[in-house]
Amino acid sequence: MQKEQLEKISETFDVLLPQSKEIFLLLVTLQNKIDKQEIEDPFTQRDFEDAVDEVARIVHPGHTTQKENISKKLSQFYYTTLKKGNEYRYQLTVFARDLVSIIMTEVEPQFEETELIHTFKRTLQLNEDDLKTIRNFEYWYNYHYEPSKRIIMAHSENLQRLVEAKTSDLRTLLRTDISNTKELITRFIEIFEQLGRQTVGLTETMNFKLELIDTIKNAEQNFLDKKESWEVYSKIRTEVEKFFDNIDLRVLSINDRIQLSTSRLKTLYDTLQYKQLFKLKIEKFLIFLLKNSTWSVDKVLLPENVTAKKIPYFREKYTKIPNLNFTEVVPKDVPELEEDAEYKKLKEMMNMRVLNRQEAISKWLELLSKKIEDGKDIVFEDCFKDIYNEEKNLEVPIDVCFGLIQKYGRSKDMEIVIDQSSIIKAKDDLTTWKMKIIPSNS
Amino acid sequence: MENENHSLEFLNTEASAKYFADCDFALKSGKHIQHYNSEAKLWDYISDHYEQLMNYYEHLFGVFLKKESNDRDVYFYLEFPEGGSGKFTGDRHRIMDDRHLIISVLLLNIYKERFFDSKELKWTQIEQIIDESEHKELWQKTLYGEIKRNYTPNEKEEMKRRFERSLSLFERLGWINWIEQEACHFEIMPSIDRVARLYANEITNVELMSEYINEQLS
Repeated sequence: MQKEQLEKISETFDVLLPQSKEIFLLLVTLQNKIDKQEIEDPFTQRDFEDAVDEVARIVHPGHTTQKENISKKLSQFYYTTLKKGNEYRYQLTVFARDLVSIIMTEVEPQFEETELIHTFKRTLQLNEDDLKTIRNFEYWYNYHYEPSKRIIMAHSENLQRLVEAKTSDLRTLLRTDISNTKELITRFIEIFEQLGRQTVGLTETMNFKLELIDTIKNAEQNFLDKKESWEVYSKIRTEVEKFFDNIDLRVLSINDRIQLSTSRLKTLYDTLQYKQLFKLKIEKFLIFLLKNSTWSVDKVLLPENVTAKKIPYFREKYTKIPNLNFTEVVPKDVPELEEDAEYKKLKEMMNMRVLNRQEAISKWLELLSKKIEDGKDIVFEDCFKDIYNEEKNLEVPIDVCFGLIQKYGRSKDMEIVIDQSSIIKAKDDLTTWKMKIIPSNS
Repeated sequence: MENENHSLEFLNTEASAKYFADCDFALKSGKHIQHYNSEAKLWDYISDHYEQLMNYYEHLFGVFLKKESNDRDVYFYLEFPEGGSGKFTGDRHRIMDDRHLIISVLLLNIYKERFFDSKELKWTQIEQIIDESEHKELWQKTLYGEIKRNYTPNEKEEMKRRFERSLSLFERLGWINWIEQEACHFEIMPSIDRVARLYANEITNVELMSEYINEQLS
């Protein structure tokens, strides 16, 4: 069902809602002329065309409007054609009138609080008959409460919007470039006092709800006998109470804002000039700081002529001590160690190999160092082979040669000489650099 | 006490037993006490014993208990004497960080701008100032360190984190009140006016300061 409705709206959307402000303004103009009895209802083709011209002068001054097009767009949902005597006349549809009315209420809220409370008393008032049967009570709910609820909601929404708009206008007062600010303040005070009176009117209307809720509560026993009646009664009662609670909060919030603005306006009247100038200077100071501050390694640095200020600062620091209860210590089980004999033997062998290698390296280093100190040349290639042949471990000669380079590489008395000629053919499987350590003076 | 003016008799009252310690801790932590929420009781206590407390802090700590008002909202705080900090030496005081100052002046400006409005502020509104205001480039330079067309989510997160650090300090000082800290939603408190008092000289002479900087640059 919902899908069908959506499809229907989608199909007719272009003609269902006014697609240009021109069309909507035309509807408003026609309705307005009818209300003021400037034109007859139903109106003539001539009245229609005059209204189109009037709107065109506002929307597109100096342009001509396609009256036929507009007439065609309106014909489906907004007016019906009637024959009166020899001529055809037009009448706005109920839909068109309601649409205009809704929009007009939004843009031009009516604050006739006396009338509002009068309406409530007339429509919301509950009498004995309304509460005699659940059917009567439901009738009151649907045809008295629901429409009144809409009026109250619309009224409070409008008031809220108006207060917000006026509050927003107030910001202009703090500008220094507006003339006659004091006169403007006086005007704002008047507006807000008027808004305040309207809130009072609304609040008085809301007081009426207490009486209403009490009457509903007192009728409780009328609906206790049947389950269905009780359920309907409870539902209505909860809804009414909830609605009035919500409206109460809304009215209180509007009232607070009005009172705040009114009192501030009165204060502002005396201190306006100073406030305007000070506000302006704060803004200038902020821009000054922004313009002249520099950024250095994740830090902002203020301009040099702004000195940093000190403020008290004392933060208590508490170290959280863990709460240990020694009276209830549960000893943890210590797992029994299992010895892996094979792994242990392997590890011992590995350690022994490393130890033997270290020992061999030390032995060779000591031997070769002694040779060097005795003034003999050390030819790396020969040493390398000798060590390898004896130790049968390539790591030992590499580490020994590296150790010699480390020890004598920077020595002034020794020189490491490398034969840079390329090796054409290796005699053995292994070829080392042709490197010698010789005394510097040799 | 030797001197009657510095009598500590007031500490023997029931009210002092109840509220003095909290007031003392709060004031020494730099808090600005306002008539707001749970602080209202402390505010009442200070207000009732203002003269005695003023003497207490001046005589024993060498600082001044100040009572100032922003329009109609009165707040209390401790102020250091000019050029000193009384007994608040070492780590008992802090220097307003440069970034904190800029952000506090921003909040002060917003507070003054919203003379008639709610002083609640959400992160989206701050972002709007940084990304869309007339001075967005200056804000970006100050808060991000560089001006770019777009910032990465990490850069934005880092900037927000830095901003929130300032806000957390302001909350401890009583300049703002968190409404929903996780959403960075807060209310600027009347005591933000203290920033204007701390930097009154600079604010009043802002034009001269600008001229000085311009001369230095030229």
